[in-house]
Amino acid sequence: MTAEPAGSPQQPNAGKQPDVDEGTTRIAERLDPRILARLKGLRVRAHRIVEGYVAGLHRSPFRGFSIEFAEHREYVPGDDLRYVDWKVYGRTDKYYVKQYEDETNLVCYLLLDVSESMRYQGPGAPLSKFEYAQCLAAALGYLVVMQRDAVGLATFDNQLRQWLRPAGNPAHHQQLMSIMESTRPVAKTAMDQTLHAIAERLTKRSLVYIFSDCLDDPDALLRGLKHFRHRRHEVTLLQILDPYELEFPFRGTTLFRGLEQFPDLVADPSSLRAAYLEELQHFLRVVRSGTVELGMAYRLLRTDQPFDRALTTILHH
Amino acid sequence: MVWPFASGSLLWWGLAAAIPVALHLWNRRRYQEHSWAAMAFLLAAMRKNARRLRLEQLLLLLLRVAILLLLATALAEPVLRGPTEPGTGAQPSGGTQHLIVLDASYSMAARRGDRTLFEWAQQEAIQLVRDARAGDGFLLMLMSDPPRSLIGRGTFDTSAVVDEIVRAAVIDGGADWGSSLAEMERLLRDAREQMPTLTRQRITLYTDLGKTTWRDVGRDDLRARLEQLDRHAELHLRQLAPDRNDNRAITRMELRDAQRTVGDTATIEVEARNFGANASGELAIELWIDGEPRGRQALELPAGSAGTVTFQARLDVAGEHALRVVIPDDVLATDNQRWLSLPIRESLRLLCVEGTPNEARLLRWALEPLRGDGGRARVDRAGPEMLLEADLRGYDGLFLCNVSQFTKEEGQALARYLRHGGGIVIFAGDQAQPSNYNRVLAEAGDDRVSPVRFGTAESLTEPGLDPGDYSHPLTIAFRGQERSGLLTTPVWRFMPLELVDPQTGRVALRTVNGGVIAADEQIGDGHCLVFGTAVSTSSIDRTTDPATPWTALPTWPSFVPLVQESLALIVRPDGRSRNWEVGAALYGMLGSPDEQEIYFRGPIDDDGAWPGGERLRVELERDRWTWRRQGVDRRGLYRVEGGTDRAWWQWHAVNIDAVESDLAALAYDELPESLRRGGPSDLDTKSGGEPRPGRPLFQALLLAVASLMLVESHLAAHWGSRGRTQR
Repeated sequence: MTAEPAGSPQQPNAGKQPDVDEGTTRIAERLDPRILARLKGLRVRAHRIVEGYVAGLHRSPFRGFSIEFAEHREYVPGDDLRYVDWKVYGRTDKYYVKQYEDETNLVCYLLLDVSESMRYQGPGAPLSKFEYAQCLAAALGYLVVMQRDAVGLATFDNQLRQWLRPAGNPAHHQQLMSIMESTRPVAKTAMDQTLHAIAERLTKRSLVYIFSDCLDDPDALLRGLKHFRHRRHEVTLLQILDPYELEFPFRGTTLFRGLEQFPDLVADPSSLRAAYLEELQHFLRVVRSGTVELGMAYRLLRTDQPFDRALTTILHH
Repeated sequence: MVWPFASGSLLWWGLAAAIPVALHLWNRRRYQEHSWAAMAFLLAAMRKNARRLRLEQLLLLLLRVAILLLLATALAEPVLRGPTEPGTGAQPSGGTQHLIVLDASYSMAARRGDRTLFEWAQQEAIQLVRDARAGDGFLLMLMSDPPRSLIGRGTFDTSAVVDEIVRAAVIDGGADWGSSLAEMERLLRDAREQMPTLTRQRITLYTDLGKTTWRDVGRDDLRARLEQLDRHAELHLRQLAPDRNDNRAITRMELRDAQRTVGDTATIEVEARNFGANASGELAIELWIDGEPRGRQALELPAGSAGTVTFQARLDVAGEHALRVVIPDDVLATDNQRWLSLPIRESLRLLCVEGTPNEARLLRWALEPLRGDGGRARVDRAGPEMLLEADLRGYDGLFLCNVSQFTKEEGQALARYLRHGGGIVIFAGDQAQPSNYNRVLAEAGDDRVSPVRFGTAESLTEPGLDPGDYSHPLTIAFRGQERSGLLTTPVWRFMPLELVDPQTGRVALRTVNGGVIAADEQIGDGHCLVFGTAVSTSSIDRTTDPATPWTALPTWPSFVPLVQESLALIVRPDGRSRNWEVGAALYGMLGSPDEQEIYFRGPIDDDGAWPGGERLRVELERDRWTWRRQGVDRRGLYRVEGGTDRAWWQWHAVNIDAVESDLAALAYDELPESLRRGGPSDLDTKSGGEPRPGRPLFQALLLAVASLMLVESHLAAHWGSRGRTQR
């Protein structure tokens, strides 16, 4: 474990529950990517995220990720009011009842895009897209392992780079993080074939989280995702983008050096901003609608977004 | 080449239009680098919008360039020309070569309303330039004596022409029609060769038609040349008349009896003339000396007449003095004052060169009668050897008394002394050798000293002198004083004199037999007076028995006044080289050889303010350190300063020749036909081809610039912010 730099927030005791009295502000600070970026080492970051996230919930995270809970369905007269999910009612104004199943042995796969475009880190951004995805995947894996379920890992760019079979012990999680830490994004993306190849490897119905900027042909991306749907996996596509990519706030003549073998371009960004944003929004709409049509979950994450909010978005949908 | 601009030179600011282009190119070469992941969207955006972006950039660039170009054009004051040929509505095929002639004689300084005639002429000439067609050329000259070309080579730059017109000024002198006509011919002839595309030539002449300037206009030869000029060029004459013709002027101010030393009395004679048609009433004439009023006299001048007043002034302080006479202001201010520079010496220094011992003993008493009692002459006596040994420049006068002969070097020394303003009186005697005198003094060419040749001495049967009509300055004082002894002056022997140059030499006295015994001449800046007899009683005629003296002149009552008058004649008041006329070349000589330059300032204006001056080099000319300056254009008082920290100074007075003070204009009928085609009431009505007045586009262009700037800023803001607002 890398030593924590002086002046950074203290690492909490891993075995101790965060003190609720520390206050929401301190917890939010812990989960701010700007703060986390000061910490070296994926393990430290993941641990901090999970601890902060759990403290923010004010309740045990393990209960939220319950083994009994299966799904919600709409309330119909005659249902037992004890099973009404009041939290959902609070959010949606509709009555849902929780349905519970017997305990299942959950398998979760974390698919991490390690293409060169994930290396991008805009000016002022605390983490690159890859670093943000690393943190988020590690935290998620940590939560799964803490629940004694199995978590696996696949890294990919234009091919499957590394594959770690799912397992549920802490040592396995250490290995998972080691793999992620040692990975460097260098190659071009080709999600179509790669997702096909990964989907072929998933024999059991699983929970699949894909961490990617999805900067690829959207049709190819959706074709790859379709394979997962075919196998009835529960897929969540987490599209991670940098604030500069989403806002394009450049000023003055700029030479844009293309990653992933794209050509360079000299342009006046202020005159191109509108057209660029239009192209980007179109792309995002296509990806979002395509994913939803496949019955998958889609989340757009910014690299300056606090991790607790990101985890909440991912886990409580 | 066409210059439809009032200030064409400002078009150079149009080069600033290159700045936006340069900035555009520079910005393209200067950029920041950034690695970018979402390149596909950027390339797509660029592919779809490249054409629009290029158009937007080009449009903004064109707008910025246009703004600067229009601004430069507006600054150059373009003038929109309308059709100019009457009835045709079209521009003529060739341009016009304008020759603007401004009468700069000082009569043009007469007032008309709130300004002078010359200022009116300037205004009209400027308007002519501004109203001229695009592509017209311009020449500009002053009608003066001699005429002056201000723009001698044709130009299309109207702003330069206007500048020259504004800078032009009246010269405090006259003008000469003949030489001005010749200058016009020359300018137009040269212009036809230099600018062959200008097919029309037009002379516009602004003048008051003063009689003095135009008196020769009817002369046959000038009339013929004017007609010849009329075949090539259109002549337009614009007459400018003053408010009224009642000018009075001081036409003369002279020292009748110059004061040379402290305590002498100066007599100043002032002549005033009434050029108007009405009597002047009581015309006050004031004398000011060194800025202080010293006298006032009144004069009644009938219409067209002149009168004289005389002031007596005694200056008790040695040094430089400036005298000024002034009459009340009238329609023409230029001729209401005159100045006189009068330096006063503490005493005179004289040298008597004696051919025999004590030859000048009595002469010295005559020159210095008040010796030791406030005498104003210091007399040295010496032998002939002093002519080469002494510095003659330190003497105001030399008296050569019965010197037997002169060497060539002595003759040259005397010649230099004379030409640099010295005064010499030669007395003959029994030692004088006529042949030597003639060879060395009278026949030495440029080194001539004597106004006369000397004949062999001869005896007179009857003594006595004949002053003729007493017209010679030497004898004026004796007029009416027949009993003063001049007529009976005992002279028994003399050398008959013969004028070398009867044009410039003057006979002062003759013997009763008619032989010339005294004569004088101004030679160079000096003066030489010769007496054919002796100045002492020691000259003896040994041909008779017993021997008889040449003369008893020094013992006679007429001797002292005759010597004093001789002194007054030859010793030039320094002021003679300090008073000049406008246009005359000024010069002065300095005693010190150390001076490298002097400082020349003036004229002092009527408010007493001094203008800046100029440095003039001092150069050695014929053994004298001399400064020179070409003639000045303005009358008034000038000051020459020199020495360490300008320790010494002199006044130099420059006055006008009063010929232009008569403001009477030439009668219309006296003008040649070619100058009076326009009719008597309006001499410039020959203006069928006059261009329409130009319409200034300045304001319209500035409005266009402001509009374009608004459009540019709006477009730049709109296109620049489109990305932000649509985010």
